[in-house]
Amino acid sequence: MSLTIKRLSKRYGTFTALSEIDLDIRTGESVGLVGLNGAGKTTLLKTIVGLIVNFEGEVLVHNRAANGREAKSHISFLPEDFSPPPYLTGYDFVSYMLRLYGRPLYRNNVDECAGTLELQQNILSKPIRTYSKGMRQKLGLMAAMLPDTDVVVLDEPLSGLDPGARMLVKDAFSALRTKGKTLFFSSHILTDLEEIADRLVIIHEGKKMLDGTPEELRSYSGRSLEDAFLNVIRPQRTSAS
Amino acid sequence: MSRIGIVSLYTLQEVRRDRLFWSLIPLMCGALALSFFMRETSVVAGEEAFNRSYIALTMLVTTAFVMLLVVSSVYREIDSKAIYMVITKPLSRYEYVFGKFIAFSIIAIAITVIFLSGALALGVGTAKSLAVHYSLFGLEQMIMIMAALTITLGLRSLPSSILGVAGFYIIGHSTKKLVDIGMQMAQEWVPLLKVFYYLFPSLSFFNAQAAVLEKGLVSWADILFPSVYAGAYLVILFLICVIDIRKRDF
Repeated sequence: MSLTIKRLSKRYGTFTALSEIDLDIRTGESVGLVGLNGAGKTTLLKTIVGLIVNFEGEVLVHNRAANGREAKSHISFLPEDFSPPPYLTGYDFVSYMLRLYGRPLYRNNVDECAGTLELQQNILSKPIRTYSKGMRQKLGLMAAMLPDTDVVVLDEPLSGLDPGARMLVKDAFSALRTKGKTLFFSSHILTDLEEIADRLVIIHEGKKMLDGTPEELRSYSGRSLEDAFLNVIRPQRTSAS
Repeated sequence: MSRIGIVSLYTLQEVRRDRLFWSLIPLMCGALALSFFMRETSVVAGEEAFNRSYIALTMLVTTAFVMLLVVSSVYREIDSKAIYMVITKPLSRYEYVFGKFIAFSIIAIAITVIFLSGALALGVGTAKSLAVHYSLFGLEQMIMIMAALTITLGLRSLPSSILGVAGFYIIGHSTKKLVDIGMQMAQEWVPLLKVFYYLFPSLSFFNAQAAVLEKGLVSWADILFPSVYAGAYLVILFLICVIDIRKRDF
């Protein structure tokens, strides 16, 4: 298993952000995390990458505690709405991230990855403060993909991207899957998830509501994935209709 | 290179391109110009007014500039979530703190050396007294940097962090004076004031301004106690910062 989550609960005072979540993700699997705003998606992803350290339960990456150095060397993460240090150049930032993994920067690899995401090479030599939101998101994706870790965790990786860029990122994810990497990511856009994910995990109010393939989700409604998703998180909706 | 070194290197790389960093040049020129102005307009001995102003202003400029740089840089990293990208890598949170501390200490020491060179060139005091004074000031800067890192990473709010660092500086420079005043004017308050004196770092130890201005005798041994004191406080502040950041959710 790449990722193992056992009875994970996280509380902020009296508010329960996650409640007894169990989840196993096999090596090479691509799993999408779906939920409404405030459902607990980001909290779950932050726990996996070691940003949240006060929780109940167990989170293991390759059978090692998620917030340990060994586990962290297997995992890369892209946070939601993230902005890289504005005064570094794109090359500097990617080099910084790679060196923290103990990996050298090969310009050819960086340029190739930038080309895949249609990020112009000359822009990488400029300070990040001159980048648009989409460019910063692409740079973050490069920083998450280039270290070549076994597990890639992404929080809303397609947000802030135009349709063309979304297509490129989905292609990049497909390439990662081909390489046998484990992908775990959240998104609001169910059609995108259907294209990229082998499995969907739906969480609502901190509880896991469904863990299955996109086809299994579809069985909750004859209409769209959105309709099926709403039927999963609000069962009374189904009985009413 | 170790991960601490990598964090330091890229922090320095970012800071040197930061617009705030380049505001140091007009600040330095301003401090120098104001010192000359004080010499020309002073009713007492002009040279003494110049020396006093130069030492006071260079200390003020360095402290204010370095603290703003630490607080703004670390806060920006927290606010933009760039810190998430760093601390999720295979490095411990203490390595992150120590890397930042080294980077900002290098900047503070570089500025201190520039001001020391200026003081030597302008004949503000004897070479030895100036070297002792600015060495002590360098130690104070290191304590302030660790305090600023602890406060900013703990509070994660820009106004609160600035206020917290300013409060730490003011208390640090007040405790010894308060005990001295208590000794002369209100003996019954002395035990309480001494509690504050021992609880907070006393930054008054890191000042040999009087020796510079009065051309008094100073020796390198004068640095010994403040160095041990600064070392102890740095370890205490570092431990507080690391214990806090290790147990915190981001």
